[in-house]
Parts: sequence; C-alpha cells; structure tokens
Amino acid sequence: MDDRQIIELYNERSEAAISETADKYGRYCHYVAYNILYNEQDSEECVNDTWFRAWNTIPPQQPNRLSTFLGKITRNLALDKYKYYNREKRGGGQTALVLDELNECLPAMGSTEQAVNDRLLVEVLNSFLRSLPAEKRQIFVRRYWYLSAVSEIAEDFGISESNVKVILLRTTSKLKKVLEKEGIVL
Amino acid sequence: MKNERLLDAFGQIDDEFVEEADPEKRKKVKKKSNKNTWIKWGAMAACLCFAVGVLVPVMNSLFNAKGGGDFQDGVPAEPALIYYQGALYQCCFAEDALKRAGLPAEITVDLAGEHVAYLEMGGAVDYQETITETDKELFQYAPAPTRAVYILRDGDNYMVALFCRTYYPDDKDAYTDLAEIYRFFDISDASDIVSIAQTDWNREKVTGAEITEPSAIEEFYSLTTDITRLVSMGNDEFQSIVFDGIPEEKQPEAHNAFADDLKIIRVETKDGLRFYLQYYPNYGFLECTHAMAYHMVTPELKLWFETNMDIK
Repeated sequence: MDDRQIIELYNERSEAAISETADKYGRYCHYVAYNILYNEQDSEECVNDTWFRAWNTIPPQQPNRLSTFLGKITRNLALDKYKYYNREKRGGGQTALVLDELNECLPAMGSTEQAVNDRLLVEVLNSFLRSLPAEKRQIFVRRYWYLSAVSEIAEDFGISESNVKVILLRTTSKLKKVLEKEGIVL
Repeated sequence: MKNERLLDAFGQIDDEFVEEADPEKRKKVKKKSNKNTWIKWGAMAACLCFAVGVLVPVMNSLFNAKGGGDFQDGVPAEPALIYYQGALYQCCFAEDALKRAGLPAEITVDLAGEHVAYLEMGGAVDYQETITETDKELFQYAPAPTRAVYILRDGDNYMVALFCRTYYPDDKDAYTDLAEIYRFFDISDASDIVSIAQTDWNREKVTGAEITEPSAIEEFYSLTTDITRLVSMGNDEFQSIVFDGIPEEKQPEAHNAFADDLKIIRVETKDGLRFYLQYYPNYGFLECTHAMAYHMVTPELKLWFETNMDIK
C-alpha cells in the first residue's frame, strides 16, 4: 500500500491505518529505536507509541514523507526514554558513543556568540548537510540520526571501519568550524 | 547537556536527508549489486560528489508523469546513480546544487542535445548503459557538451546527471588525478578556464580572491597538469602520511586541525561549468574528490596560491 493510501486510512479513522503502517514501517521504526535503546522491549514500546502518536496527529498532519515522519517520532521517543533511564551502562548501545563523538563538534565558547535557539541550529545543520558530498552526508546522517553502528555503516558502504571513523571525525570537525563561524553557542 | 541538545537538533534535520540515508534502501542497492554479472563488485557504489543537493519534494520540470524506477510525484524516491563509461553520475534537481555546478535552475527538454546512450535499471548503481533501446536515455547537455554533465530522460522525466567521480568497478580504491578531471570538463588548455576563486564552505559565495587574469590561470593550469611533479595519491596513502603516528586519543584534535585548514577553490570553465577543489595550505595537499585523489602541492603551486589568492 502506498503512503497516500495509508494516510487516507488515517483520515477516514480506519483502524487498518495502524496495521498497514506497522506492516510497512514497523521494521524501520524498530531499527531507529533499537540503535538508541539496545533493548527489545523498550524498542517495541517506542514503536507502539509511535503508532499511537501517528493516529493522534494524522489528521491534521498530512506528511509528505510518511517514513521520516514516523522515524522522527520514534527517534524522539527513544531518546527521551534513553535520557530518562540513562541506559548507557547497558551493553553495546550506540547512544553514549554518539554523544561522546558529538562532544568533538561542540563549538568553543567565544566572547561574542549569543545563545542560539533550536530553530537556527537546525537551519545551520541543514545547510551544512546540503554542502556535503552525498556519500559523506549519508554516512554522517546514518551515524547521528539513525545511530547506526560504525561496523554496520562500513558494511553497507563497502568501506573499512577506519575509513568510516575518519569520515565522521573530519565531518564533525567541519561542523564544529561551521558552528563557530555562525557564532553558535549551545 | 550540550551534546544531547545537538543530538536532539540533529533529529529535526530535513526529511530528504533522513530518507536519503535510509539503511533499508542502502541494503537494497547492495543486494542489486551482488546480482550483477558484468560489474564484479560486492560492495556499495559510492559517489563523492561535490556539494550535490538531493531531491526536493517538487521537481522543477515540464514533465510530471511517472517514469521508471521508484518515483513519487514524478521524482525518484532516492538519489539515483548512473554508471557510464568509467564514471559515476548523480541525478540532480536541487536548485542550489545546480547553481553551484554552474547550471540553470530549471531543467527543460531543450537542454537535451545529441543522444549518447540508452540506459537500463540495475547493476551496482541505479542506471547502467545498455545496447537495447529503452525509455531511459542520456543526452549531451546542449549548452556545453562535455563528460561532466548529461541530461537524463527517464520516461517523461528529465533531469541533470552530474559527474561525481571516476569509478573502476574492479578496484574501488582506484584514483586518478586533476589532469584527468580537466578532460571531463573539456578543459584542454588554460584558455578553457575563466576563473579560479576561493568560496565559503557552502560553495555559495566567493570569499577570497577571484582570479581571471589569463597569465595567472595559465600558470595554475600548467602547475596542476604537470603530472611528473604534482604527485597524486589515494585516501589510504594520504591518511598514512598525515595521520599515522598520531596517538588515538589525539586523532580528533588532529582531524579538527586539518578541517580548520580547509580552503574551497572553485574552478569555472568557459562553458560556465563549475567544480571544486579542497586546498589544505598548512598540510600541502590539494584534494580533488572527483578524482578520489590528494595531490602533494609543489612549492611552485604553494607560491601561486600565496601570490594570487593570498592563501598561506
């Protein structure tokens, strides 16, 4: 079933909307949640909450891209759960590693920067991503949006893990430079 | 915490970037490549394009009917790659990306010149050449017929196919050099280059000197085509020269410093086409992502950058 048809089910308040959504995007949303939480039960909870939220927001929302609309809900829910439970000590999760990596692109404090609102920060991120070569952008987004493991990224892109790490390091360095140049303070 | 705030902000990036990086799509492309018989390559096709924008929700075209492939509203659902005669090309729509490449904002049928090849879906990338007549064709870009830009027709959809990089299916680590890239852009002597300029990181604005003086351009051309002196190398060799021997805990700092040194250099041709190089003056490297190569800058080239562009 294509996305338009699924959204129409939501508009008609048909319960088939949830089953169709789960059928098409269950695996995708589970992937997003699991990379953050590294726990099956919690991931499943997030995915179910995602369907609940989708049901309550469509309509009036009419997402152009249903996959990313759902993925963003799941990601936010999973990160909230992660922060609440502080699960970084439990085996193998990517979230703590990713947060450590992001420390490297926090801009240094300066005397003239102003604290920035989230909207401006997102605008700068979008502009930065647009400036990147396609492959580097995809690797960067895989790591910091999808929280995919470095080994998985390497496998999917057919490059070595050290190559992935280098690309991430260099790109976070560039991002740091951009944030500093834009006078952004977090 | 600040890093959590950044991670949260990352969660709000544009949908097109999230969709572009969808792991499922990546794995699908990988599966297709494993089935291919004449391109012997078990890993993912990669395209290190300069600043190529990805898909926008509304395509700027006269033709809206669906063509082949995975389309939504007449637009391919993912950035499509084309493998053609030793190079990878990426389908490009975004106005800002087209502008950075020196192309018009709107892709119309009159931009399609001579027929070049028929294409079919499949292989390691999305499109590959076929001898069979299909509804997918490559045409010369009529205003500037070069190997750097083609017009792709897929059904009733027309789009730009922008050169990303040279590609050798049997050797994914292979690289070439800047001299080869000049040939893609139909630069056969210095008079084919009209300007060399330093731009901002976003490749939108000229921020430093813009060189249009023919003698200066001629010198730059000569220095960058002297392959006996301008040594090129691949990523692995470059990494070992610059970063080997640095302790692991110091690597982030080293990469930060390297990134801080970056200067973007735009080369514009007589046809108005543009491509970009990355110059690292304190490390003595000129990177050309089209060639997948780093060039060790000669003292003369370093002096050229200092004298003409005030880049030290």
